[in-house]
Amino acid sequence: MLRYFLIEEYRRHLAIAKKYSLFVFPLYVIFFTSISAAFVDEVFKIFPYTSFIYLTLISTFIYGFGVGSFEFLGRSMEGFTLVNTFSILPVNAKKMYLYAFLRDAIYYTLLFILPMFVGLLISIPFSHFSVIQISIFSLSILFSMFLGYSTSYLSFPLYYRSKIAYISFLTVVFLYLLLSYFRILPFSVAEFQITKNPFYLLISLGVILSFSGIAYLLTPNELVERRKERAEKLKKYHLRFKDIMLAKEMIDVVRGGIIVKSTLTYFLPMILLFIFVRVLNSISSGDIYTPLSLTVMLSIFSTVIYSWLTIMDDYHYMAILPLSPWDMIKTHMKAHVIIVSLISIPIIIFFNLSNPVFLLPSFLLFYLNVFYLLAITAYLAGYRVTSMLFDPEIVMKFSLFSVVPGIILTISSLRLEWISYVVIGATATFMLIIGEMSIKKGKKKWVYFD
Amino acid sequence: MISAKDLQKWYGKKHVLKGLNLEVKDGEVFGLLGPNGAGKTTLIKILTGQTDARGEVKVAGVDPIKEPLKVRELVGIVPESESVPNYLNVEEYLYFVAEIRKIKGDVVEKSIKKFDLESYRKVICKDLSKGTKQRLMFAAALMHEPKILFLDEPFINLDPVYQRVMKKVLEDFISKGNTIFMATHILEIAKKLCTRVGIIKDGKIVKIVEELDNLEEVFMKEVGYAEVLPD
Repeated sequence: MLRYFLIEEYRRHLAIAKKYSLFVFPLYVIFFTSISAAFVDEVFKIFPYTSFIYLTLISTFIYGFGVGSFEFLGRSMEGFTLVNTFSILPVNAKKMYLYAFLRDAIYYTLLFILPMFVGLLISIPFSHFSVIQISIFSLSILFSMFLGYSTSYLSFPLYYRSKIAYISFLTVVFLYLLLSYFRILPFSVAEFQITKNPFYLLISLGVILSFSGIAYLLTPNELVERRKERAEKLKKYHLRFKDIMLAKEMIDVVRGGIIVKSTLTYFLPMILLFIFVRVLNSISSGDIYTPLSLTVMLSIFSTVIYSWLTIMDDYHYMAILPLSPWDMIKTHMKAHVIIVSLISIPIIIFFNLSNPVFLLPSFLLFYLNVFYLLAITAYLAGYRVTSMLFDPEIVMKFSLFSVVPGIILTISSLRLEWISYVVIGATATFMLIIGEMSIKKGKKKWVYFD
Repeated sequence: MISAKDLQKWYGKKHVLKGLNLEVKDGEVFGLLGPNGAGKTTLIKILTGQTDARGEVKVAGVDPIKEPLKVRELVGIVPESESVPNYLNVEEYLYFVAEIRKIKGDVVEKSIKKFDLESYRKVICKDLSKGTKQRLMFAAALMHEPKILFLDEPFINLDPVYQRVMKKVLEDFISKGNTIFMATHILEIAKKLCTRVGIIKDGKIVKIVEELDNLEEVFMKEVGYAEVLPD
């Protein structure tokens, strides 16, 4: 059965990307990792080693949790795929979701971890890492990703059985991550990376196996769709937002559980990012992060919300109404801005309390980058972006047009000197022009839903 | 009312419609019969502006390839697949459609009553049975009182009781001089409701049947089933 799951996954990617595209992706990871490793000494001039390890491994955990949540709480509920065949074949949901878990574990190891390991090996002449150092770091990344992934696997049956259990579980995970941040509690894989003590790796393995085992036991044999009734809310939302599409989108956000599902994939990471930046600034002699660099990072991470919005609802019924895909994309953008503002505005205000002169520029830069990233993502990936990262052509274009300006903005806003303002101004102008062009081209590109 | 000349459609390398020609007049109930994969759903999607194609097409004077949204403003569509939103309840969905189509008045309540959806008013659309979803799609398609209705296998999920109810709804629609374009597998329904039937095979209309008494025989002959069926 696992073999069929792997074949299905491969063909699902083929349906959205060109043949062999999936195999180009690891090459991209190899290239990107080896380049990054070559500049790691520069990174350590800014970041203390321990903070860097904690940030990297906790981010990897969150990434593992994020992709797992997309699968278990998002994509597996779309359409009819192998994971749903328990309804017509003599197999149970428990086993099918375990296969989905194993399939993704294999895919992510082959597509990310292994190419990252190879990329680091290639970087040896420039980075001067040893093979042992690279192996230990790759193991840490692998275990951190699987910790996050098994957490998302366990959160799936909890979400299905009880929203309260799901939220409680995530709260505990968040608190643990927070306490790990301050080194009050150990984050096992980070401690392994720092101390090289294999005991911490065993603890991580134990947690991964326990979470996966409990997830398997808690997943029901049958996932019964219970008939749900909901009181009329659309008219109220329509009055509030003055836009029927946006009103419907916000109903989806609430009833589709986006706020709950994105708790650990967006809201909590943003709070952790904010705390991390504050801590790092307080322990360094001068501020490492400026208000502007923080806002750029906040806007870059916000794209995860757009991804959630695009997998929330079926879209086929839109095709029989006088609505275009672009109408839907526009609505996703509006909802995205509302949701990311909820968490970003308080963080930006709080960060600027001591020096309010940067408040307005921070907001301008934040919304400019949000607009730009949305415009680029919407143009390139349209209304279905979940598998976007597996199409190397899209990844290349996305990296070129979105990550590069983001990096330029982040680096130039770390030191606020006159040259930084010139670079930020020039980059912002470029982003406005490209963003506007993407919107215009997107309208023409996304005409049909097929 | 509906015309297509030399209509061509490819899905990747697959040539689905191969120079299809068609003419449907005002007030007609035109049935489209054909085996699986003949191009019925694709033709309906082109005529209703859901996908592009090459060739000349007009629906109510509008070119659906150039103005897909305009044509969807004018017509009603009941698709083959269940196309309802996941998180709106029945009442909210009808309100949503009414707002998108800018329909004034008490149209939501009228639709709920007409299509017997009262007991499902608060139920989330994705939790409805297939048949109830089909009725809801009928209700949504007829809310703006279109002059043309496109139906793709409209009775496939309905139980016999609601098949009769829907037939009545369609008869009422036809009696007002409106036009129906319907793809169906059910020969009996085609015979009872349609004024003319087009048989589609391999992406072309191979026969227009005006005398519907022998429809089954003509259909079997045209699609080649007669050769494989036992005597």
